Amino acid sequence: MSATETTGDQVVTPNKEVVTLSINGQEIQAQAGQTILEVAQANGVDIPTLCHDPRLEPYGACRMCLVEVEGARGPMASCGTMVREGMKVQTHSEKIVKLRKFVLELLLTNHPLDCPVCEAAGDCRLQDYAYEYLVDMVPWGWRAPLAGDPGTHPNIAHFGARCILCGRCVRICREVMSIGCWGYLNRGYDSEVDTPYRLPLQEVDCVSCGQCVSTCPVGAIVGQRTPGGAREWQTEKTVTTCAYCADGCRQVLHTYRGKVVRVASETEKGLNQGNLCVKGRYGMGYVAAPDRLTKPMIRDASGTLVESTWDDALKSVAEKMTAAKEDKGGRAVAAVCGTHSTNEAAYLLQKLMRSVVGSNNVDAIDHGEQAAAEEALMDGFGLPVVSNSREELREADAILVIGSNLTESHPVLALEVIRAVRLGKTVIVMDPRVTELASKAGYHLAVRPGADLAVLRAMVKHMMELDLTDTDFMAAHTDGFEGFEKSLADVDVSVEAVTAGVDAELVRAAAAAFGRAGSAAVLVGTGAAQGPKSKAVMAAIADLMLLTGNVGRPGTGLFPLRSGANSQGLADMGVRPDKFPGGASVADAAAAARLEAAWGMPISGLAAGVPTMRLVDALRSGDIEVLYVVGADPALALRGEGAVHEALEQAGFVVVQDSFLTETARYADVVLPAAVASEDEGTFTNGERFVQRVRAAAPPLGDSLPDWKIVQMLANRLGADWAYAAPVDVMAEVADVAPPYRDVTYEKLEEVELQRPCSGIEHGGTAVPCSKGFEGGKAVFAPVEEGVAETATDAAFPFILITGSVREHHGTGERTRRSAGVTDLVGEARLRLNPADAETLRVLEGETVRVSGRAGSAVEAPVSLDTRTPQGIVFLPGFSPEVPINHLLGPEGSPAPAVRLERVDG
Amino acid sequence: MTTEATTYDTDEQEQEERFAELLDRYKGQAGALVPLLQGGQAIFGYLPEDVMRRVAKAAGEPLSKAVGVATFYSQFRLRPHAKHTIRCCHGTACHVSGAARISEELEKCLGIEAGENTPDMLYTIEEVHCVGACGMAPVVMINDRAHGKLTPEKAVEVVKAFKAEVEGASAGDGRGAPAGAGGREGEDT
Ligand code: SF4
Ligand code: SF4
Ligand code: SF4
Ligand code: FES
Ligand code: FES
Repeated sequence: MSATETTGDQVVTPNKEVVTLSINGQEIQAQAGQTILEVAQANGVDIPTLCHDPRLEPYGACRMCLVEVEGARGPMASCGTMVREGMKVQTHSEKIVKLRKFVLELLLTNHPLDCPVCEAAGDCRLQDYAYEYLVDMVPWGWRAPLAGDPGTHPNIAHFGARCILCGRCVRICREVMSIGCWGYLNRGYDSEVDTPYRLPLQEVDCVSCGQCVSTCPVGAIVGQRTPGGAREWQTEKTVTTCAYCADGCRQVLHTYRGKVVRVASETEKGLNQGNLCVKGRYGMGYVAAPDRLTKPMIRDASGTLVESTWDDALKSVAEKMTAAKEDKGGRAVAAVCGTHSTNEAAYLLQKLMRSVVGSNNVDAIDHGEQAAAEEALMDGFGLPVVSNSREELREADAILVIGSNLTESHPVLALEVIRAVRLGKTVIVMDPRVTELASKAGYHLAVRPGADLAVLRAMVKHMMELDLTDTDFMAAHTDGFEGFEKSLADVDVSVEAVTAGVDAELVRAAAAAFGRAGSAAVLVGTGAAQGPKSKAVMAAIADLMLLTGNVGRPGTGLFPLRSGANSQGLADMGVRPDKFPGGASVADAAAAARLEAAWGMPISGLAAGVPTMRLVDALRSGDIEVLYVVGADPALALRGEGAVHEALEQAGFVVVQDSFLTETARYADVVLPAAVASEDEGTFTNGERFVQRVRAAAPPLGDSLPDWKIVQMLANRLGADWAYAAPVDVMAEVADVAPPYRDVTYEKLEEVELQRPCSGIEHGGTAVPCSKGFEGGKAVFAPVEEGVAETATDAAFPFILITGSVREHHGTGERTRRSAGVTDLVGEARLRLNPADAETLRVLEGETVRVSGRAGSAVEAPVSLDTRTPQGIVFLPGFSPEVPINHLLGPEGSPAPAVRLERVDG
Repeated sequence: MTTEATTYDTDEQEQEERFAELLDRYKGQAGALVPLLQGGQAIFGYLPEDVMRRVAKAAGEPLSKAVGVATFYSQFRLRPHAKHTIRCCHGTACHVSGAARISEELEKCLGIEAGENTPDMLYTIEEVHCVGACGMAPVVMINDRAHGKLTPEKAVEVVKAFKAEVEGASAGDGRGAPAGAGGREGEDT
């Protein structure tokens, strides 16, 4: 196996044979299957490489890594030669050094050597090796080719003249991304690497991930030069975790004079192994956006927000909270938290609400999309969390992706599925749209929106018909099979397939492939985890896993996908109206007593709070008077057909703590300026439950402050005496009160970079939380529910509106909309419409249509013709305040809305 | 015959049908790229961009790879081909006996660069590797006929004679503004 099998700190080592070899006379033990290069690197012997990248298959083209192997006919490429017992390797013999010099001389003969203006200078292998091997020639007849112009892509520059033809960009875009923007042109001396027909990258399906930038060993593919840019050696480097999606990618922020000027990634480090997506690599512009909030603001008598001091702003908030509490009790105050708040800030926020304000009204903005998964998994497995990690996914023989446009919503996690496709494994995609993965996967079940349950019923039924069940596993680890079996008695695969709008034979084939796989994993996205049948869908998926015994073994697992960088962390920290930190129910008296003792404040007997899904109602009814919004934009995120506006309007007092004037800030009485993630310290817990450090690369802008600090200041205003000097102190307390985090410390995170909290079931924090059994002994089959959650369309409202992610933006878009690296690619939210439907409606690409729902709300958006969207369905993303799609969505738990489209003339 | 040229299908619909059939035949097959490119070129005479895209799709390969293969092998043409091909050999033997100057003069004579077609689509110049007639280097092939032991002046003469023959023969079919009259833009890049 190559280095692509190793994942940072966690090398997958299925009992491999040990071999002994010598490198430069030193005796070394290695595993069979490792390359000479890997073994040398692991033992501190540097071998230069140009065409090698551990993310790629060995290629052996550049000849830089040649070594001498005793007995071999000639020098061998160490990047592609496996170690053998007794091998004797010389890495820097005279002959080898000469060969390397020759390779370098050849490369330099037609290299521009415009290092003074090259973005890669200081981080260029050609420079490094020319220096190391002292290749100081001025070749005969040498004439500098011009580097040329950088191309029109907003983030990625291509200077073909600097290319050394190592092929890494070509391979990474094909092998890792499964796209293939780059290729060779011509042959021999005329060879070049470029896009087909030298088209601009934007025209060749490029997703702007920058993987090619990260792999290019020279300055041929680099980031576009930015105005505030700086040389490699002038910048400070800070390792941190991306604050967008739940993939939790490791980033290296480069700062120059207190400003983040570049985002880089390190190969072989972090969960992402050096891969990022467009947001992570080019979506940092918001940090320096001109409309960053730098001063607290208070709404004055005339209704304008005016700048104030921290003192006045906090005083005003504290007074209102105290008044509401005295008047109606703590439950008149509610806090809602965004998914990029750190664990430390989130923990303090819920502590403030529970112990100081006296209210369980503290919830995450994305609770609605997580609720079904959390509840169903709790019922089935006694565990509300993902049961596996991406290393496990790598071992799966089959992967089923339900309700997620994974390459858009989780672009780096998606690479694992893309890899599975490339390795010929079974990949099944269940999604109404022909998503990128759907078009690459072996099976695409193009289910009607809301009909996932029908397909799942058909799949489990067919697996039982074929006897593809793991009876040993079921006997040993599960209960409730009889009820489950009974619930399927009348299920007819063909009937279900018709209901779902999917070909019955395709469903059967997919079910058989999944059932026959030695190990299988399921990824479930918000497309299936929301809606009236979402809990039934999640329960059926859990059944599917139990039926096939795909739980608690390598290569198996159920991944409910989370959308924000710290969605999982918020749940773990107790940012849930019914859960304490660590997951105990607020009704659990013993847990409440323990917290009381730890906090020294009474919290027992508080009723469960109002979940985000009911926030709109609670605001409208006046039950909640003070709303404290931390890093979220409920005006764009809460669902409820026009009622959101009314609810926020009606709220007695709204506090917005954010880095920007969000849509919600229109309703705010006080605005508190918060630092962004790259100005804060703390941790995020990613979707696979890896806890990773967030580190400050620059100080907070202006008078803004980190969330945790603001929460502490507010708590102290309200009479607490908190004295956390830094987030590390908060984590120490979290480790004390939240059992899953008992082993998490910053020191450990320094050592291993990432750590999984234990699940509360066993204590090692191992990768497969269920492997030692389930809470309460056995997992429980749930009877499979009947029915589906289809949208009722009719002649007046003929289209089904679905929503979801676009790769370039995140959530409600507060940050991505302010990042030029993103908006230069995707600036506006467009309605995706099948060309056939467009023809019927007589609308053209780019024309604006009005999208109206049954309740009378409407939004307008330009049309984008899209064959991936089937007829009868339209898609709108939710990142734009110009297109507030939440006004069209029914309250949480309703099916996708039926809408009407009309041309807007003029 | 020195004036012999490649023949093309002219019936577009028939071309399209044959191409669709070809794509169908190879769909989903491993290693289909090269036969598809060959087949496509046989039908259309060259490989236009939309044909390349459809070939890549049928072969399950990225367009970049299809273009890579098509530009790697000299048998493939990405541009429509003029009726007559003038190949200047730049193999080692010809190179050392002055192929570069010959190319230069012929390019001037026809007003195009190597790899281009004359605007009337009558002539194209190609630079090729050894054509297997090193004994008479430097060599220029006009269609299938080799002319050897050339000087730049001789090469121009041979080409001019060939032009006269072609344009004399086709005078009156409306195709033949004398090549080179198309201006010399693009000569000095
Ligand atoms: S940015 Fe990503 S998709 Fe675009 S060419 Fe590079 S590797 Fe390919
Ligand atoms: S552009 Fe960079 S990565 Fe791509 S082949 Fe050239 S040198 Fe290698
Ligand atoms: S948004 Fe997600 S996939 Fe993209 S870089 Fe950040 S964590 Fe990784
Ligand atoms: S690194 Fe081994 S041949 Fe290029
Ligand atoms: S080199 Fe020109 S014919 Fe051989």
